[in-house]
Amino acid sequence: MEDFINLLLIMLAKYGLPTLLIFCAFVWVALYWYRHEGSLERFLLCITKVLQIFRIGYNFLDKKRIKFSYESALKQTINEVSTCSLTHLGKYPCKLEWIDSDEAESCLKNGTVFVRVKQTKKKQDNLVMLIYLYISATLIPELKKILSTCQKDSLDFFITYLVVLKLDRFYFNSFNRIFTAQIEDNKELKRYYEAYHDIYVHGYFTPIFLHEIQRLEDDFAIKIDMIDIKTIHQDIDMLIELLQSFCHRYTGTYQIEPWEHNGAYIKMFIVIFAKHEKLENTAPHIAYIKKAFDKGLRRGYISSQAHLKEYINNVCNELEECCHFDTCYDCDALLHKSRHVTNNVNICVTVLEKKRIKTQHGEKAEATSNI
Amino acid sequence: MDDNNIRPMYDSDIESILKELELLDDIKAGHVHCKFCGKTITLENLNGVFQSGNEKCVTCDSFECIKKLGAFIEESRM
Repeated sequence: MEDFINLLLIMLAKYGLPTLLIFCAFVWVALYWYRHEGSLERFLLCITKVLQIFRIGYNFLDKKRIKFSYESALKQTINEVSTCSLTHLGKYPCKLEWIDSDEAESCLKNGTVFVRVKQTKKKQDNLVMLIYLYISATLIPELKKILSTCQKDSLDFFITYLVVLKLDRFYFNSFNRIFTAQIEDNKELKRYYEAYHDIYVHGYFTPIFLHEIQRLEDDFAIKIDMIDIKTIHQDIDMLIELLQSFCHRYTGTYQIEPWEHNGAYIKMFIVIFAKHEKLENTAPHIAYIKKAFDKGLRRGYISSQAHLKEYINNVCNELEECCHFDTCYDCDALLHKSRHVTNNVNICVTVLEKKRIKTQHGEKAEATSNI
Repeated sequence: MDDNNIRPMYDSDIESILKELELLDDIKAGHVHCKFCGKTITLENLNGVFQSGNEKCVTCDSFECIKKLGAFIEESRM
């Protein structure tokens, strides 16, 4: 840091203020691009679109435009749905590298697919299909082997929808044209898709549902053949049901029933830390969380208002003996105050993971608290 | 898995790519069928080309076949 300040001072003395400002602006832009994945591609996409208006190098620019659209939308979505601890999508490259005729033969090997992007009026359809192909090939590949067809397809469709949301409305229209018929034709698939959408608009799709699903892949990927398929289907259905009722709860009312799902494979619970909890007594919540982990639940999700983050951190410290902090998602949640009154609130969902201890034999055992 | 498994072909390059892969003449003659649904492949309905074992396979642009193509990429990653 000291070196950096020295460098700035030298530049200021040598080249004057304007050069320094340009340098700072350059550093700021570079940092912004680094921190906001997909923003560089979006910027390049805008430049390409402008140049295309003047019909300069149309084919070349069209290739670039498609590339930047694809990469920016995918990177942004991956950034949203994967935290540093969850990189199921992020670990696969989402680069779009056009194939040339002279490298076609050498690149066509097992596992590689050449997909056509048509230059027709329905150009957007192709890109949407390409995104769908990427999602269906990379999202939770192990778990998908045992999910029901509807669970699997609806999840691929919905994540594709999330990516398409980042593109302009023409792509969104394309998505509707291609996928609506598929969704409408299958009642079961429609039910899942609508449930994901419902959870998504309430803000809990990525922080809870997708997190849980990706952790499920982590936990069971190596023993996927030993999983009871019927039970896991039921587990996922019950998780969706729980999340939907959680999303539609009325805020400010006392909830007697705990928000938890203790299935054979999914073992999680949700705790709400509302505003008033900040003031006084957190002991009941801490006791509840400890008890939940003692019961065998693996993950806890604390939903709280964004400004309570610091306070939640302190609570996490108090829970050190039985669980560890996994990650934290910031999102906008739609809360129901009453049947007709809703409220948009910035919330954070803190994920706590039950502590696992390595035994002498190298096996992972789950820790229990002292309660 | 470091390689990028999905490689797009730009429409105007399609004939030269197929020629390089020695598929163009067969497709034009109507001798190539979709790996998944068996439909005859033309330059109009061609969607993807991939290798399965030693065989070069081709798929059509129906939604069902695109879905199967996704599953194929997924399986080949294992």
